[in-house]
Amino acid sequence: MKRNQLIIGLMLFSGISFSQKKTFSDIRKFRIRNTGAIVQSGEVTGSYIFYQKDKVDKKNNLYVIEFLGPNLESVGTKEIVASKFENLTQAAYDGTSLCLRFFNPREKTISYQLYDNKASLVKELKSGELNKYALMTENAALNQNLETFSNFSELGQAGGFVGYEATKPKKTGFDVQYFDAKSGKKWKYSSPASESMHLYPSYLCSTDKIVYTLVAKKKSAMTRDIDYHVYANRLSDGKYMFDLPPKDNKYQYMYYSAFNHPGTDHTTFLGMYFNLGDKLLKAKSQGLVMHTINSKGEDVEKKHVSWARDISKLLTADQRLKIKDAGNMYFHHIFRSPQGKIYAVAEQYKKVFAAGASALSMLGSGSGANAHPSAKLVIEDLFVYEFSKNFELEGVKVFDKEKSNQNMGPGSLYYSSQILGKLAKGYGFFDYAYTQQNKVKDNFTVCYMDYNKDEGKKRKTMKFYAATKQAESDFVTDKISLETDATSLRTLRAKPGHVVILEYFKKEKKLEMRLEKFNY
Amino acid sequence: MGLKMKKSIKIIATVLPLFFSGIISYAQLIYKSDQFDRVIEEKKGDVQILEGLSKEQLNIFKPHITSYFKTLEYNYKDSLYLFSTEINKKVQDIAESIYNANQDRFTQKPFFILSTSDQPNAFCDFNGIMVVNTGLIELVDDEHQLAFVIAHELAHFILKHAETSMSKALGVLGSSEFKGKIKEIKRMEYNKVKKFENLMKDLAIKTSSHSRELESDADALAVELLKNTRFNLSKAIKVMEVLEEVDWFYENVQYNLSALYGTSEFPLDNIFLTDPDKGFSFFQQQTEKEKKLQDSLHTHPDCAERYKTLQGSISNDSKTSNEDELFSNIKELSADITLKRLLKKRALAYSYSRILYLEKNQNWAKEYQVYKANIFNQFSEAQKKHRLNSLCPKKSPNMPEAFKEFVVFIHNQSVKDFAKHALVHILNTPIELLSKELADDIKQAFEVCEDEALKIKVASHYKRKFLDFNF
Repeated sequence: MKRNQLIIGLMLFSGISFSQKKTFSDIRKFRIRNTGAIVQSGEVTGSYIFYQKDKVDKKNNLYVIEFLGPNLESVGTKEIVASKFENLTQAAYDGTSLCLRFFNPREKTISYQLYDNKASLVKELKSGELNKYALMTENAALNQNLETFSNFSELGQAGGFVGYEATKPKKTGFDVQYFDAKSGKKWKYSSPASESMHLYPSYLCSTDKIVYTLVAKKKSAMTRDIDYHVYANRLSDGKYMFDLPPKDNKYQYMYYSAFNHPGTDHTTFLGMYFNLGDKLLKAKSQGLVMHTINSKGEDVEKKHVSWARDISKLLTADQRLKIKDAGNMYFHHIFRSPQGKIYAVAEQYKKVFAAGASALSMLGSGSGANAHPSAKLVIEDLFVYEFSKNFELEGVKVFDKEKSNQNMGPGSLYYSSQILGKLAKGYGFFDYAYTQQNKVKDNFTVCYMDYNKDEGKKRKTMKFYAATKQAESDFVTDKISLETDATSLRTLRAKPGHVVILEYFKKEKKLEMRLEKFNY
Repeated sequence: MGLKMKKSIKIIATVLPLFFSGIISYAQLIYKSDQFDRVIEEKKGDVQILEGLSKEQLNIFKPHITSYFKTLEYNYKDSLYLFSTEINKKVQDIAESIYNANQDRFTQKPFFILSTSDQPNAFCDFNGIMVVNTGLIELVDDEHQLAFVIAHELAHFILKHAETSMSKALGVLGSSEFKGKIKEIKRMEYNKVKKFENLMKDLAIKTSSHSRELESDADALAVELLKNTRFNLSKAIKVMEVLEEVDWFYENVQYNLSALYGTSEFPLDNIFLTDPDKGFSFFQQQTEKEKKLQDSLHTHPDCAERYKTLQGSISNDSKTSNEDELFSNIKELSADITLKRLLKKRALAYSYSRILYLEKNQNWAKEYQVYKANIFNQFSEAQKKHRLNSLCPKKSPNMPEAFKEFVVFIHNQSVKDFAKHALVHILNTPIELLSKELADDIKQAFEVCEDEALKIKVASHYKRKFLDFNF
């Protein structure tokens, strides 16, 4: 309660707040996308909020960045003057310094600001003007509040940060920037100018010597023919070391994630495999692959688990009915749990003809000659596949959810299910949020949202689901109500076993955050 | 200098056994008073501090006054204020001693209210309404110290410090210079917020430095007010030492989690004590200017400094009072009432800390054992509904270390862990304190707990008192 200045008291003790929420008042201009988790060694160690405080001149604003610790406690505030078009997209902490990544859609640039523990700016890096593809990707990520955007990361124990850009005049190709405030090291790798293929990079993982990047290669922007390579760059100077080929003499591969084996120079890549000759954006995968290499890029081990041969026979009749064909599974994440098992999280979807939207499109085009039929994606249940350490399938868990229908726009009927799946991911149509590992409690949690999709703004039925798996036990699902009158709502990754829920009330100019712990 | 809370076990006075035997129950305490209703209505109709103000000035201050009265009325309806207990009599007795010895200094007789708030606080407003918290009474050593606090607050009232502060604020807010600056800021297109912030900071510095003078004046007058009373000045001013260490509950409580929670039924898992949070030590160093500003925003000067000043202004006082012996019972009653208020308001982590402290220092606090089971059952229910944060705060940097460890311990528990702790507390509860109401209260814990052996033990424990009892 605010003390009235007219009451003179012997107020000597300010008690600890028992409020469940952290509230920021008088926030005049705020975009809920300008909030995020601060990640350290793959785990969330805090959060940030970026908002405009004041106008400095015609082109620049005064912004505030509030840094919060793992329990939403204030740990610091930074005021910066920046372009009025600036957006803070990601933040990461490598143990000694904090790196903020900004995107300016007007200038079409990416910039990085590196701060030491005393909040002093130690380095600022700016990219050139982004090319068309990079700009499209950045805008999409910004509009969809995508958190799992892998164009920037801290490198865990190795220290430092990497960021990926594709700048003009390159139409194809990309740059990788590495910087470390502690050692002062900095390098930039540019994909060869002679490279004619279109290259789309994303960070996979790193060891203390190598940075691995997943690189999707296409002959042209429009082709559906795509290969997935893994580039290895030397951490000390960025020198290109080798390129993991996208295929062998039997199959071709698309990797999702990777992890290291401590005490060795081995790295394992997890993903899907396809028949040779298949167009990866159109074909259905044949199953999952676990591929281990050493620091020279030599194969150590490769294991395949086939849908038809290995997985299907272990499913119950019910599960087989649900999984008619695995190709209509969008794989969000494949990872190794704290206990060493492998898990793959996928969301089922079906492509159907969107009769209503197509009819409108036809009517709108007059004669119907230029009509573009639309596809609708029906997003269904969430699946978690469990594999042993030796990559043998041990079980499948199905999480029932409310179906949702997402209209994919005019002309989408012509796209393959796989492309539509990728588009749906880009637009944020799936319900899957993220997977979080808890090394202390030795478990992991798969998080997703569910609600009645036909419901309006009040989101009465909206809930955040957290399915936690402990070793040798089944998943325990907790749900947290997200019912709110807020203008906008966002869930953020938080410290293991928790989620941060952000609600912005535009009329009251108020932002509320609360940290919720999962029950299991 | 630490707080010396030498507690010898005193013989329980007449009130307390009656209290704990149920003859005087918490529910029988009186929260209503016709006199309160009448006095507040009178004060609302005659707010002298607003007399003579212009329309513009009234627009600034009237909403605050209205809001203040609404707060008083809300607190009254919320049963924050207590009437007709031994504590009320003591506070009234002290206050009237001071008033009677100094009547010529007062323009009106103050009205005293006892609040069950845990804050170690007292205040007297511009209307002569004086509120004293039980959270303060349980903290002070004797009636002399309490008398100093009351005298200090009455001094503010006599010296019309509220009016002084208001005049000063009006002087600044109403000055043409200030109004001119506001107009200038409104006209600005850029850097508006920053300019306004700087203007308010300067205003805050000016008003806070003025507040320090007022506090010194109130201290000096308090000494004068006590001179002709029975209260010993040398003992009275020692309240400054006590108030210097106001966070004593947190720092002096020995949580000793390993000893408290390592039982054969529920061995303590180290994971409960492990703080899982990574150290994210990113902070902003304050500039020298900002540090100075933060210091100057403290409206009360350092208690240690005030104590020195007061010591220099008084000679050795040898007055004694035969009320000293009885005061300890008042303190104990205050501690009990404060705790029960906290429990009622579900400030459970804080309540639990107080229970641990009281148990260690007071024999009569053994009854509080029953609350522990209830608290953990409530933690379990709250965590199930994701409302634990409202009962126990999350760890924060400003917390004393011992309390930080305690909240980390609490937040490391799951719904089932809390339930198990609740049942273990039942096992540790003496049979004479078990009740069917308690069993009802912890039903949720019993249902949630998966340890069948523990449940059987708890049921058997209950059957030792209630033969046909079943959960």
